[in-house]
Amino acid sequence: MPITIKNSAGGGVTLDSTTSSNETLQLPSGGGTLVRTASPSFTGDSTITSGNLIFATAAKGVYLGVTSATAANLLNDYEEGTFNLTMTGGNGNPSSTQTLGSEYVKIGKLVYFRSFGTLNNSGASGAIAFTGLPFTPTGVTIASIECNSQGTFSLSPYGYVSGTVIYINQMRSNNTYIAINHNVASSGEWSITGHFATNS
Amino acid sequence: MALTKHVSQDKIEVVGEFKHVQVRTCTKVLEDGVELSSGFHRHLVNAGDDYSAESTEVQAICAAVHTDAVVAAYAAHLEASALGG
Repeated sequence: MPITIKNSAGGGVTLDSTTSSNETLQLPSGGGTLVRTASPSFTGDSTITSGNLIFATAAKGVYLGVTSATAANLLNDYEEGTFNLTMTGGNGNPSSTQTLGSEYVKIGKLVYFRSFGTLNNSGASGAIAFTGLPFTPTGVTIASIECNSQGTFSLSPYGYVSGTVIYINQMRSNNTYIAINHNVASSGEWSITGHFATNS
Repeated sequence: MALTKHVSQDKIEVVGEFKHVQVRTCTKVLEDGVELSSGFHRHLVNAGDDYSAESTEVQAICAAVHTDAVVAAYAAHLEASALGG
């Protein structure tokens, strides 16, 4: 049977122990729900002695560094996982599908990714690119790459991330850039690291 | 004590002007129904991609959103940004 404490001045329960840390409001061990009818405030730090904090509704989070709900301060997404980048060629893809095993971490709108592996680009020609980013980027960004054996270039290569494609380019001068084309090799090491923003 | 593996596409989203279909695959390892571990793998299906190997649900979404107009617009976008910058 529930107990309701109620009067015109408001109701409430105060736990007051003469021994510090002995004030405990305990729910049944079989589970239970602490129901609130308004947004409660807590004074002082809060500690979860075990377990994690789980929101019952998706896309809810924590406003950091502010004292009111401000959209720009809401951290409401974190995710880590894997994806595959697939190598393509502007004039022809590799004879067999070539993918780089990759990892991502998404914190809020920002996605960090790392790809590494050895590919065989036999049969490929034209400009090198990779498809298969795990999220759809907003705007463009630059990725750092290592390209061993499978590109023809004389200057440092970089990845130009546009849409969901990473184009492999090099700067030819201070204001011109050029695509790096496939140089067929049965084994070439690739490393691509970068980050981008996403609205998804 | 039975170990089972459960794979599901737990999130499918249509994103942006070119209707990129983002698919998240969740793999869980369970012991007697209790989750021991889980991981995510993501992939995108772009307008114009062959989605015949995708799940029935993803195929239906792609068929609905990857219209001829969207496919043509995305192809034009790729053409325009082929070299990047």
